[in-house]
Amino acid sequence: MRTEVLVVGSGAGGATTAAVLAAAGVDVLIVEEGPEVAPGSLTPFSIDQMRQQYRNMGELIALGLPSVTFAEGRCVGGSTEVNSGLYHRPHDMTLERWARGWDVKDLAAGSLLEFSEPIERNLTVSTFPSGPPPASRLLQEGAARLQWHAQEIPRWFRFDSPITGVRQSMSLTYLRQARRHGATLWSDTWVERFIVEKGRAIAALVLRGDGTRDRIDFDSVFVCGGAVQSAALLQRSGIRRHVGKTLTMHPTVKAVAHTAAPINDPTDVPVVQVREFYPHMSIGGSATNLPLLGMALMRTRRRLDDLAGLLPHMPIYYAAIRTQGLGRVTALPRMRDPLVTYRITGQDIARLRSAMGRLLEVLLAADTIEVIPSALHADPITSAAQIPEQVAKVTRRTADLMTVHVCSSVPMGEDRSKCAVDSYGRSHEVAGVLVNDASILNDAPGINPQGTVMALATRNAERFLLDHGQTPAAREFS
Amino acid sequence: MTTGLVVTGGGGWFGRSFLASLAETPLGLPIDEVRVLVHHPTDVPLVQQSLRAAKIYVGDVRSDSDVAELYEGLDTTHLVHSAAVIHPGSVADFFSINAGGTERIVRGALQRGLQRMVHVSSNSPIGTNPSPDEVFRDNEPYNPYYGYGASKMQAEVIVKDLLTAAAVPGTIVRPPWFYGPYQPERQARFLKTVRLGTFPLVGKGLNRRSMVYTEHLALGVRLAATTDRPGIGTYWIADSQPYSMLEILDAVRAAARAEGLEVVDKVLRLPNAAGVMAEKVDAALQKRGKYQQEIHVAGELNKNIACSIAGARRDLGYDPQISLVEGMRRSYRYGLENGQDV
Ligand SMILES: Cc1cc2nc3c(=O)[nH]c(=O)nc-3n(C[C@H](O)[C@H](O)[C@H](O)COP(=O)(O)OP(=O)(O)OC[C@H]3O[C@@H](n4cnc5c(N)ncnc54)[C@H](O)[C@@H]3O)c2cc1C
Repeated sequence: MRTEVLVVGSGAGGATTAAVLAAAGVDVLIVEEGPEVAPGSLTPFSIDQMRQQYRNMGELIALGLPSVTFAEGRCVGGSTEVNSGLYHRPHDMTLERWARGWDVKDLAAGSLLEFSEPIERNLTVSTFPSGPPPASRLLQEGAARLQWHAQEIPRWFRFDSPITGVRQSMSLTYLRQARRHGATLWSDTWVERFIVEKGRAIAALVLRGDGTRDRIDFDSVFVCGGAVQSAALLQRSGIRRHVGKTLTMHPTVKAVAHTAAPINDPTDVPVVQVREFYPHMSIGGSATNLPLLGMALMRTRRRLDDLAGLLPHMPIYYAAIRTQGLGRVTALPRMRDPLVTYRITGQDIARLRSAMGRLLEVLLAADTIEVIPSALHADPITSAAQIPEQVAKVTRRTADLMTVHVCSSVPMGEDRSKCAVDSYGRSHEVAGVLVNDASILNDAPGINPQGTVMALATRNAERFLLDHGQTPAAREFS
Repeated sequence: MTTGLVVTGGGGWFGRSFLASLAETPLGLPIDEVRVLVHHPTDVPLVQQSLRAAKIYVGDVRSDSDVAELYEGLDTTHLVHSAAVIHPGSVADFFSINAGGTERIVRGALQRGLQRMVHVSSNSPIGTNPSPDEVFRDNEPYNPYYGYGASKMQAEVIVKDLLTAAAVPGTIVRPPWFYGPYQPERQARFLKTVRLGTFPLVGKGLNRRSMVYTEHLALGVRLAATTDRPGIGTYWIADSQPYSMLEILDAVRAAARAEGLEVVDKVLRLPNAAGVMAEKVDAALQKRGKYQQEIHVAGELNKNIACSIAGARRDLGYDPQISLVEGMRRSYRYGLENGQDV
């Protein structure tokens, strides 16, 4: 098998890359480790979905003290098929920090806007037509009472009624666009490693779902497997310098609000976020179905009888932080999954506690009957004076941290003392290899990352076309 | 009908600055008399110096009869409550004075037609910021810093509960680290050790601290006492920006130099571990009910305690104008004029 460009992974980075290249007439093959699942055929956050669309049933672990549990999609469309759809434009402050700190070219404030605007239209990024639903409003009310800035975050959603809509994941948008322009997609196909000859990557060795092995020859390859898998794949291929050593996450702590009104929708997530403490921390809502509620309360002292009856009254909320500590991805010989570790520093613990305190404060300020921190031996509380005792239960030994944002394992930039790829994702070490997913973000963006991943992916794919004497097509889908 | 403005803690650092500001410009409220509670007879002449017209009561907020006497004969009251201990003899005093005393003072005022209250709290109920680039907002979760913080948190809760139940409006102001005229001996010592290069700088000095010039605090309290906002608001009252520890030390030395005092340009640097040690010792002592001022302060020196005054600006129109160097110059001048060894 031979292709001009191989794209590894069909998530936010891979789908965007493939669409830009295919629309310009490039011969593109996308290989995706996970299966193709018809959008909408599985209940969101259900066991079925966990099994089919997530890597390892949605339970991956970054070892450390404390460890951080994280989740990744593993299917056609990648994490975009399972995520919450919350969209943020790349933040100028972040771009400036990256440009300065890693010497990233052409990343001035505002430089990604020309890419973001068409992305927003292609994905129909929008807010609820008639205001956010009740579990979102709870957070808004609490924040308003504390005079903290909170807002509804728009989503890639096509609303068909004031309250329901279809998430515009990659399989419905950019992958469709790529295929329409002739790109081929192989699902259930895992790229084990690349063959590198004389400093140039020339082919990929893949394992197909039916157990057969294959070799795909290419002129160039875009690595878009997500921050953990991309780093591991590069390492397996012998590309190791500055790869996998600077992983970032947004670890979260959680709390359950108990409300008199039935406000929880077990099939959707709240869309309001408290932005007051950006970039250090943010507060938002989590998916809450029965198993997730059970998990959130399991280690607390709240009695768990009649959980099913309480489900409509008990949405879960989170507070996420940027950390000082970093993680590592290390490919292990003969193992498919890499070892992931994460270092939570003393300052990070202090920030997590501060985040838990603020989360409890805002939920108490809203119309709640009680608030239950999701922490070992935590008690339900009803007043602000009870917060310190509960926050003290978040410690290095007991903290229960999880995240759905993993970034920065293959940082971009011209500073070769810390960057694995250049300002446009091209490997500093091996020709023909580009990285174009969440891995190249230089550090944790402090916002939901997909909007930034896609804007950078568009920019870098277009740059690749220009490098090869080709002209990018219109950015907006026709 | 007699309306009184009752000021507790009148002999303290804040109290005297506030009373001096009243001497200069009254609040503009329909007040017949200003009653000032002081703890010790030696405070009486000091208060008289600040506000000649004050009616001075020597008493203890822990005493029912002292508090009853303070309010005796008043029909309506405005209250500014700042009596508290920050460096007590024992940890138990924190609670009996700061929390119990507050309850007695507020209940007393409520029986005397309390119109509005300003409660002078502290940064300590809110604890420390996780990193130097974070700042506290007005409505933060409690995270009390040791015994003092816990007692000041209790006091805030008491104020909120009692005022809410009685539907009386009020304001809790949270000032951080003070500087300015009427400073106590411990601040004179601070000014002197910084000037002579013997003040211990724990860590790199990049941690940030908010400070409040006492005249700024007096201004904030005046605004809080005269606002017509309903309900109970909580506001940081501080200088407009937090400072790094290095900036603070530089400003103190610049002020000393401008006042013509001898300055030794050096800093006694202690490793961060010294601060951590001090904090541990402080915690252990406080657990056993003991309080040791030097150790407590040393444990706090490398912490970030920074706040935003955006809320006070927005809701109270608070706008601090005096620079750190100018405020420190006035501190040196006050010290020199009042026989302090600065
Ligand atoms: C539950 C959840 C909720 C989220 N919510 C939001 C949100 O609301 N807003 C937001 O902005 N972000 C959200 N995110 C994060 C967002 O989805 C990711 O940041 C984004 O998808 C990252 O894009 P990516 O291309 O790096 O990786 P992914 O989208 O994860 O795609 C990587 C793909 O590569 C495939 N792959 C990996 N290795 C190989 C290999 N060796 N061979 C073949 N294929 C491979 C994987 O199977 C996967 O399908 C969420 C994530 C999760 C998991």
